[in-house]
Amino acid sequence: MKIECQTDNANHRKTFVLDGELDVHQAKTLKATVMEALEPDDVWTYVIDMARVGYIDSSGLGMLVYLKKEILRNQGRLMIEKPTDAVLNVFRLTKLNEFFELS
Amino acid sequence: MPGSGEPDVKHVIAAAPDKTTLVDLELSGNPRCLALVRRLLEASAHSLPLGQTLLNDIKIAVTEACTNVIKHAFKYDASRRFGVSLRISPARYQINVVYEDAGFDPAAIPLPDLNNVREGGLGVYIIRNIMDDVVYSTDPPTGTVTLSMVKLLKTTSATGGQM
Repeated sequence: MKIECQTDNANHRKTFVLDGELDVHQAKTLKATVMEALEPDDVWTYVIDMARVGYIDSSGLGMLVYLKKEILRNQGRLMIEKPTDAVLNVFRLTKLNEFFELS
Repeated sequence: MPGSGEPDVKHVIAAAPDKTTLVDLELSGNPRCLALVRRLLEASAHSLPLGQTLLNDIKIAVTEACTNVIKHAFKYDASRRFGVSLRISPARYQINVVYEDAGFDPAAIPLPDLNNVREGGLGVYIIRNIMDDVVYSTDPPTGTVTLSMVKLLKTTSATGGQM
């Protein structure tokens, strides 16, 4: 899975554009990338762009839960943008669509 | 099929007796094999009237089952092996996952609390919500666990979530 990080310093916003499948194998890559990019001292918004993620499993979901908790602990905000139908289906199945900010 | 060229998968499946094992794989405990399993499922569904949504659901359920083996039973030990077999007929799509886990107790699988979200524990919940029939069987003398998952194909209405 490819992950591209786009930083908007003016708006304190970092967008991670994912391309691939988010399973147990790739979840660790996402964790390492996002955790390395966390800004501990300021309030930032972190966006996970999932427009090009055709597959997610419970390990990927679990990693997103972990990241949201870590980001909240740092006073930040996590948003999930443009989930595909396949990904949205898994969010709904687990009711995590109510836990995350989806747009 | 000597002299007849490659048979159409649809015809092979239609001619197969129910519960015939069409694919029998031995996989390593390396998480990289999960993407391979998904590609295999996509190929097996090529000539079946599954539809993209149903195929995605089956891919999720099978990946969850294999992930549980690799994470919880094998603890990422890539030297261990487990089996995945597909038994496909026009009416049903059955996947069996067979592995060794001497201490496994299906009754001990906790239900996730969806109102108090945690990082783990969603895999079996997802499997049970997607597939029409989910059965864990164990053979204590050998420590062999068989997870059998069935999706009925002829029903077009939503049939998941009965477990």
